[in-house]
Amino acid sequence: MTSPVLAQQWLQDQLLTEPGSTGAATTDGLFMFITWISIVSFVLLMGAMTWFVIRYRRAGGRAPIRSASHNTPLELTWSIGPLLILVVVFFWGFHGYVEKMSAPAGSEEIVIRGFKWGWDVTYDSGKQPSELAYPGVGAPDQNMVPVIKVPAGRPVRLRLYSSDVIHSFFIPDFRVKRDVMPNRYTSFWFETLEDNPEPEVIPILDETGAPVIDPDTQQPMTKLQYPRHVVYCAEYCGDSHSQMMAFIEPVPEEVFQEEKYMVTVFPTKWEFGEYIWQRQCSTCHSVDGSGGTGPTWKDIWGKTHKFSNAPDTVVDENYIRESIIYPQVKLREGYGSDMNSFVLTEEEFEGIIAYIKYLSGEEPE
Amino acid sequence: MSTIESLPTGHAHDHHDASYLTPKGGFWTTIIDWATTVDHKKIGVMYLVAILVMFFLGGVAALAVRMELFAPTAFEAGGVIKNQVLTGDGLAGGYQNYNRVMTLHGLIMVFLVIVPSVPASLGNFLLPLMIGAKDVAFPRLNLASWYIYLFGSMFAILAVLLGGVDTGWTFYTPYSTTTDAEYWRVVWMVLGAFILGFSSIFTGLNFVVTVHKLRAPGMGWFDMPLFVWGIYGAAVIQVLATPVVGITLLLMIFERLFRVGVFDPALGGDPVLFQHFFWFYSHPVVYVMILPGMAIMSELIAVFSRKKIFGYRAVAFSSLAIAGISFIVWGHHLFTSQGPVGAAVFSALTFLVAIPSAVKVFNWIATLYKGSIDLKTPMLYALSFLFLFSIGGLTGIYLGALSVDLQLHDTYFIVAHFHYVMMGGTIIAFVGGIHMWWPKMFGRMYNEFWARIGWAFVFVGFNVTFFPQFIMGSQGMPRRYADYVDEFTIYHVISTVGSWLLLVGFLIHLFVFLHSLVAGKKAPPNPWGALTLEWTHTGPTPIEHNFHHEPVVTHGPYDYDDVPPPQTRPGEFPMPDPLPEGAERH
Amino acid sequence: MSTISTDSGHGGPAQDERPYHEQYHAAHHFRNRDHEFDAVKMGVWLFLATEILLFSGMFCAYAVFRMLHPEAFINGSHYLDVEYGLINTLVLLLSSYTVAAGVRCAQVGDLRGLKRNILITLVCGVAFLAIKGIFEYGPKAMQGKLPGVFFSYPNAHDPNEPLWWGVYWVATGIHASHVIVGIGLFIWLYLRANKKHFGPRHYTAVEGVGLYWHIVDIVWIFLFPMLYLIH
Repeated sequence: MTSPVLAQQWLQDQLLTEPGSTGAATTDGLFMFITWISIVSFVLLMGAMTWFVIRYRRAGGRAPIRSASHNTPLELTWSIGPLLILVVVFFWGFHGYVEKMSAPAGSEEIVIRGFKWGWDVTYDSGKQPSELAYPGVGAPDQNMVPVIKVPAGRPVRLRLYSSDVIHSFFIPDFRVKRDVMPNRYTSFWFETLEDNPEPEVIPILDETGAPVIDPDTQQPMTKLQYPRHVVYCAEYCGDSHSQMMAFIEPVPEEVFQEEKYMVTVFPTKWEFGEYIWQRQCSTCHSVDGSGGTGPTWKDIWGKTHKFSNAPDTVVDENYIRESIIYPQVKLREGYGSDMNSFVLTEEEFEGIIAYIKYLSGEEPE
Repeated sequence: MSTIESLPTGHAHDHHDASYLTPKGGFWTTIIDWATTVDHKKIGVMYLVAILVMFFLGGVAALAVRMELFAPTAFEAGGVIKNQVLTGDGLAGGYQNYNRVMTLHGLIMVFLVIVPSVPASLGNFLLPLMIGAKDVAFPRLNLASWYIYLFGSMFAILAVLLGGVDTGWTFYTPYSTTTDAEYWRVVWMVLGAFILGFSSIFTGLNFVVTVHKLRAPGMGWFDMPLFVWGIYGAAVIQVLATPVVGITLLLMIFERLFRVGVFDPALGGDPVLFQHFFWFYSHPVVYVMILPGMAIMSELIAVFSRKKIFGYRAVAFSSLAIAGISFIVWGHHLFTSQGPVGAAVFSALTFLVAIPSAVKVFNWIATLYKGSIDLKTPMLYALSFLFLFSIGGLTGIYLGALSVDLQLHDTYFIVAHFHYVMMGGTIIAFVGGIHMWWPKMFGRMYNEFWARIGWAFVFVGFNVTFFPQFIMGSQGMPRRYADYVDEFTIYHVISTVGSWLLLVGFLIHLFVFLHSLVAGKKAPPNPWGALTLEWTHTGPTPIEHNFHHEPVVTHGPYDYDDVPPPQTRPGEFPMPDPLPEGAERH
Repeated sequence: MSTISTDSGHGGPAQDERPYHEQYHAAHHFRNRDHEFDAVKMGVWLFLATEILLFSGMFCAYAVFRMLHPEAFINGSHYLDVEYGLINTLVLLLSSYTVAAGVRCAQVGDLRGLKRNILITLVCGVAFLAIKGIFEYGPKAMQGKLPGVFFSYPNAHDPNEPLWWGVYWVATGIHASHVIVGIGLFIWLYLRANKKHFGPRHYTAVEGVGLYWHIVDIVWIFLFPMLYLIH
């Protein structure tokens, strides 16, 4: 390869992550174009400045030299010249923007709800992602974020809304983000570059981090994992804004179809409750007695708590239900009013009540 | 200098030849004199002190933010400031304290430091002097604006003492109208910002009228120093944009107190309307911040290269163009939340506003050509401005390009961009300006050697702090994060180390200023050989009412080729050879 | 120092028996009274520009919400009493005339006429607030037609009516607060006119307050059709 191409590649590797979508590749072209324009203009400007400062410094009381104090053709040139370059940048940028916003027909649609603080993902089948992963931020047992599997090489449209404040769904590798609004849908789409992603073999770990052993074969259990792209929340939304992450994992079509229609069966109600907790409650409420934005769920069942705006109340089914639907009615002493109302199904209420009982040693394991 | 005492004067009073700094009497008399003064110079000095104190507070918050990001250790271990800097009134753990300190930094730096910085301090002090007026048009309004500034700051500080707010300085709804519902902190903070708006409006209104009505005889619009043009452009924006944020903040207060619902989607309101309202003010206000910085630049460059500003009219008109276009680009803060038509229009307009800013940079660099360049501390700051503002301006192109902005919006790239423009632009020019006019304000010289050392720390520290943020931003690090994944550690560590260098630099400057006040050499009346009217006094500092007689202006502010500087020894500042008989002047 | 006049308005030799407006000197940094008058007038106009921008935010909000919730806003305007709105409009128009007449009286030195006109304007301002308070705000508050969470009107047609009332109360409330400030200013003017402070050579304050009152009036002229008339 020629050296300019190498220089370009080197610079791009320093500044940008590996592009993950078709839109990202287009955007990177414009990004690098602007980078080169900036470098050239900056070097020219600073070169001229440095040269003048050295050449015309006031050494030994040297006087200024008379010169023109304006030059209309020159000034017009340096006003209109940059404008022409900026016109190119504008159209290039607008083209890329429209490309990222309008999804082609037949895209796979995934609905994503942002809430304080997490992403609730629903596939077209009505099912949710089966896998959670630790993103490297926050406490490993509390901040497990959804892994959104998407069909590789096929257009995917994300439809986004929020159930409380404004969030923003940001996928750095795809060079795109979109604000997530309450009471309104926004959307964008992408098509991943990996037509045929190469999976890695990953050992399955249990909660303590030890490998899970298959009882039949006595071998460590493994699974296939495809390269993932990280998702951030980019619009400031409060306490755990910096933990509000997710992963996008482009997978072959058959893996995606399996994921999309996978039904998870929970042997007990409390395990279903734990599943809900991990997806919606764990950023604020711990289950091991430690503090957080909200009070812990450990050993609270049947206890009487103090509230800053209500009389003392015993934790029972009614209290739990009320705290989920109307979280502002009873605020635990020492805690703020950060929680928004959550809309749950009856099964989910049952699950959470069972899980809280379980955490207090009430429900048989 | 050729100011002729020509205008007929009324009944002559006793002549106050005394410096404006001369105490009026004993300690308490002097204190009361300063507290009730309507003298624009004293108000300017009081503003300067207050703004530097606020800059110190905002800087401490910034250092705390950088410390947290230096080692945002795991959640359970408790980060550096998570539970220690501010007590979280019983709220266990979380990133709350980081969010509050981060918000505090933004609010202080924007509303209490950068917006008033140059206009209220140097602008107040210099604007009437530069146009040959005895005061601003409405001196009592000027004093009122200073007290309103203090009053508004008190509300902001009250909100901090009650535990701080965690809304981010942009107060985006519905987060800001629902967070901390049981406390009044957000209301106090917003009320503070609302009150500060009046201070800003009154200052701006005063300056616009002053420039229109109080210019000395012989000073046409194009005979004004470019400092006055820059301040004038900023003042126009202050007057026309601040009321809109006034009604926005007022609606937000009603929203919090009465749940009116205008910005709350749960009540039928529209949160994006808030963003439009907010940026309709807050984008123009970006130019309220930078135009006065540019205003200082024109003076520094001209004085320390002894040249007429290249393309004076282009620089003057670009101030007006920036002020005008600034009102129609607010939507570029909403590229990720609005529709494609709005995005396209605002993107195009945004590129338009780049041109007048670029023109200014080109003209300043062209001014250096064939000058007599003296690298005193103010000039070092002016050259740093060119360096840093160029980076800030060029990185603006990325953000104006729609598809790239979808990537960079709300990442550290934008944090780096606006620090390069706001701090690398306005604050750097401000510090340079303080050095240049320090002898005029306080009658004493500062220590040139140590000031240059301070400059070196600030310049290097600034780049070390903020340049890595461009890289981590383009790699995807979102802003306002209290914690991050391991890939970004190296950039955050470098950035934090840079913030310590900045601290050292500013502490050296503080020491230099304090040393100058206590033991500085007495300043000559015109140490830099400048030609503008504030340097015409026979003493180091201006007299109480600025001029004995209304000056009459007979030459331009930058005619260094032909006019020997006032109040300097002959030959102290080298002049070019006189023009040969009959030769045409450029 | 040598200025062309004394420091502020209270100067002049003590034995000068001429009325205040005759012996008034411009502040020291102005060349003369006309210079000062011009500057003050420009300042007042700029201030009024900020007032218009302040209200334009409210108008803008109205437009946006009307677009988002047309039913609630059309319904809402039916709840308002056009008669009282119209009477109030006429009251304000009358006061705008008297304030202009007052400036004219000051210019020709008719102090009695000035005081009379200021009084009528003052009464109009109070009448405006009284009509608004007794016949509009009062009954509406009793019926629960209040903004946001305070809304408790049982017969609402549209879920977004609380928002309409929010816009109504905030817009007219900010306007009413301007009327209250205006009333205060007219009391101040009356007291000064009583001390013979104004005359052909000095009536800056009358002119300034007059301009302010006109803006208060004009804002109402826009608020009235926007809230009451457009269905």
